[in-house]
Amino acid sequence: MNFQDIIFNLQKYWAENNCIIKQPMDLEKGAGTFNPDTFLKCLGPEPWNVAYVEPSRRPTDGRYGENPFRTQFFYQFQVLLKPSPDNVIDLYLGSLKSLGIDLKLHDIRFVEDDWQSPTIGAAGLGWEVWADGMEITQFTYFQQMGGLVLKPVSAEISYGLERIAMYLQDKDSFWELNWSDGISYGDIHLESEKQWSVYNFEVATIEMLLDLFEKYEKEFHKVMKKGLVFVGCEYVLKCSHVFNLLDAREAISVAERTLYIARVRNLAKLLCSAYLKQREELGYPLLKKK
Amino acid sequence: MGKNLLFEIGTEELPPSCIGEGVTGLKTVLENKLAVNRLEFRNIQVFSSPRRLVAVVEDLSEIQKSEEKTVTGPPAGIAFDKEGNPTEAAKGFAKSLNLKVGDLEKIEVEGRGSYLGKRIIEKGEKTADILTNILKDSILSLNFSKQMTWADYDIRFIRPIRWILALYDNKVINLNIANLNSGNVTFGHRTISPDPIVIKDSESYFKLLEDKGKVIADGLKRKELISSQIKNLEDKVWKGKFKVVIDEDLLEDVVNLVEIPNVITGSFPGEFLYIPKELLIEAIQHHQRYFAVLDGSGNVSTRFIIVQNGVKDEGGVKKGNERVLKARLSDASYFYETDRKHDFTYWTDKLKGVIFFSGLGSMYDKAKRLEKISVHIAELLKESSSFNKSKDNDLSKDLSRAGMLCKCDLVTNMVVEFPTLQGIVGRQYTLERGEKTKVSDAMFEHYLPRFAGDILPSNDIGLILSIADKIDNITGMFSLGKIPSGSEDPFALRRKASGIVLSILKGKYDFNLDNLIDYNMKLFSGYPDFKDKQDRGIAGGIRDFIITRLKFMLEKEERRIDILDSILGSGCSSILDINLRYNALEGFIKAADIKRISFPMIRCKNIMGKEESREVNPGLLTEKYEKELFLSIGRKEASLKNLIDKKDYEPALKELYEFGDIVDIFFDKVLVMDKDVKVRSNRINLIRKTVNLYLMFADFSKLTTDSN
Repeated sequence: MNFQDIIFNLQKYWAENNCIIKQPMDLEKGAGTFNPDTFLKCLGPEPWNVAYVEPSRRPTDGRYGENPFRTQFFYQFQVLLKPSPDNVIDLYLGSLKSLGIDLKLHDIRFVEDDWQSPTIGAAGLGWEVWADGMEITQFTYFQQMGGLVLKPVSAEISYGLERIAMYLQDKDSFWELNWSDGISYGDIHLESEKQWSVYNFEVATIEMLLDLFEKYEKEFHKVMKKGLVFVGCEYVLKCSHVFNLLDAREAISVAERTLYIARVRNLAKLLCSAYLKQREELGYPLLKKK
Repeated sequence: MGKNLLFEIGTEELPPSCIGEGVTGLKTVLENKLAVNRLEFRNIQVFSSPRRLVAVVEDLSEIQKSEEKTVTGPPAGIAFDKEGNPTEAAKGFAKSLNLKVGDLEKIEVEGRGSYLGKRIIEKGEKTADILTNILKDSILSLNFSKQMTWADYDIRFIRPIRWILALYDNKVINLNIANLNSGNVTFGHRTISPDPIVIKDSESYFKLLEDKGKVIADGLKRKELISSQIKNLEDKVWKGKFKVVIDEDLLEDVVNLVEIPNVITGSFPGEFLYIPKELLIEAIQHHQRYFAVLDGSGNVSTRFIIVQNGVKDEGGVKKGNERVLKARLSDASYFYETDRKHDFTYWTDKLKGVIFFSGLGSMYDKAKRLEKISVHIAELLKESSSFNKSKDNDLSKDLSRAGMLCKCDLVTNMVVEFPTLQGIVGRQYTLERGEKTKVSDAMFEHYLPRFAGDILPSNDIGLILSIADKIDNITGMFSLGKIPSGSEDPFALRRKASGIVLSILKGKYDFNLDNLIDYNMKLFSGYPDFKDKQDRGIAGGIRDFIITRLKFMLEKEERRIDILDSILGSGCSSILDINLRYNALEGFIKAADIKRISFPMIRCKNIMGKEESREVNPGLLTEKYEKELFLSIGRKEASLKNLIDKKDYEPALKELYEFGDIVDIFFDKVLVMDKDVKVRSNRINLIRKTVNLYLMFADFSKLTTDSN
């Protein structure tokens, strides 16, 4: 199954299982969780079932294209189910079957992995899902977002698309994966992976990044004063990404690191509370849709 | 004869770290609830697999024990008038019970006399009728260190509950929790046997679950199976040429990650074998929970062990796992290679950016303190008579080096990725960079002991650095007010204090603990949070905290605490010396009548009062035996000091033993309370001097001496 077919299959499967299929957000982010369709929509009482591909960036994970499956850029397929259905694991296993994985022939394992993202004040309990030892999915029951306790609880399913493809295509590295017939993942991404690794680790201008962080943070407060929470959300993401770049450049000491994380978390908290308040004022419109 | 209860809580995959908690929790909760409900049973066993907690209660009585209750009303004297007729009080009480006065009886209440009352027998209900609430309460009252909620239910558990099987006498006990109704259905292996399995007879549960469901619900059985499969590989397949590295914690983890284990052998490319042994083993074990395999000469081989959650490798299980390990090792190799480019100057500098603890400076500051504290201990030791001065000329130099380097590995890529390698990476990297072996060993050993019963450092560098590291943690935390209380000890300071005691005893280090604590506190004096905290109270608190650990160790060996208390009464503040005196006194007590030391001292203490001690004026001594006592104290002081300095405690105790006669005869022949105030207070001063002589060794008055 080609890389692009995995995406098609998952989209079809989750559409059939009551999810809206959305498109990625046009902003750098570390994971599908940061997309407001998860980050914000997991808050409050309104039901929300969504699936989307999320191109994700983690600058410190770059390996100049030399590691078979650790990269600073990768794709997640993100599903958020709120409230978490009682048969959520069966639903998930069904999605693996839809990718042609014969569950009886493989060792599918749910290994404890409690997830936390201190930068956005989020915490959840769940697992990494292994297929024959390969971590292919992160499965989390969100308990907190922006420091707020969540009720109802959402289930978040984040597939690592490249890893699933390696597994399905029996390949040893991202670069060898077939994206489509004749075109490999490496054809599309290897050069840029090398360049971004150089940039993230060696070139990015530290002063500029430090400056941007301050400016983005300021802008956040400005737009939030006007009640523009969706704009505010993007400035939280921008701060978070700039922080990740600074981290990759080793520009911040461990002590300062904690301070930066606390600053982003503070923005996330303000954002989440403001979003929740707005939804309440609107009378939770999605509660009325069936 | 009762009937059996089978109770299974079916869940999504439980974290291995919580399963133990779940098993003991469920057992305790059931025991308590059944007891409170007056239900008798033979025993409760609790089993677990990744997707279930299972309780089996054998021989559970079918009916609650009936209970006799006594209700008492007014005292008999008030309940009846002189003619013996019931009063209004009696009638009112009878009415409140819906009875006539004639139905009531006189009941004797111990120590309070006779009352009007009634013995009521509450009949027991049928077990099957009350189990619903008992089982539901049991689930709801289970508490876990990490728990979660799911969907919009109000219940909290380790992971979501997905089914409940509850059978008593093979009939379903109905209960409802989080949208679930209990039943007689269980589920087997998630992927091999996904269909529901009906349990009609609870006796058949384990067998059906294993045969049909492909799940072994007994963790011990799964563990044995893994061990026997590994043994079979080693003996039959490898013919003794290879050996699996069994890490007990890892094995325990793996047992709780599979519902039925299957051991498979995989292999990885030899190009990774250049990674140092301990680092390589950790890279194999850490993320993927594989087991490493050693060859005949004890080197890591390219083989490794996978424990699959299944029955046999029918698909690409082995191949998939091999691919994953290869990538993991290529990551480990990347980290190791990156670290290779750096030296300790780089890492030491990086420590400046790592906070040790808020208010206690950076890791660099910590390393600087360790350097100073360990050298200070070495200097204290050089002054002590028992330390072999010729043993190590470079001790201070090596300690200073080891202190500076021992935290460096925390900022290496390898330890950031594999935190459990702290100390081990330090040892490896110092060796690779040409440090002395002793210094290298201390990188690892200064963390010892890591848990109760762990090994201790092997040489002076490791022992002293370990003491320095731990005292610095304790002093720092105490000064910030983070003092352990009750069961709260988040920084494991008690364990660290025990480590200090054990290292001191092992190294035979005789030094004054107060001196060390003061020195350590001075090092913190420049820190902003410490300005007002430099008081004796904290230092004394730290000293007592550490000595309490020694006390616990003695208690654990069921040795006498009064001996320790009496030694502490001497003001001795060297852990080693306290222990030596303890052993001497303990031995002495076994051989001789200690009362001949303790009684004379108690006599003195009873009479001496609390005034300040003054010099004895020899000119005022008139009686023969007080003069004798005075002279005798002078002689004993000199000889005791000599013996105590040499830690020659047995003869020291003998001296005090003989001294008892002189004290006794003084009391028998001399009247302390003389009419002349001057003579009297001079005699009291003499008694104080006597007490001080005893106190050179211990406060013997604190010994509990039984009369027989």
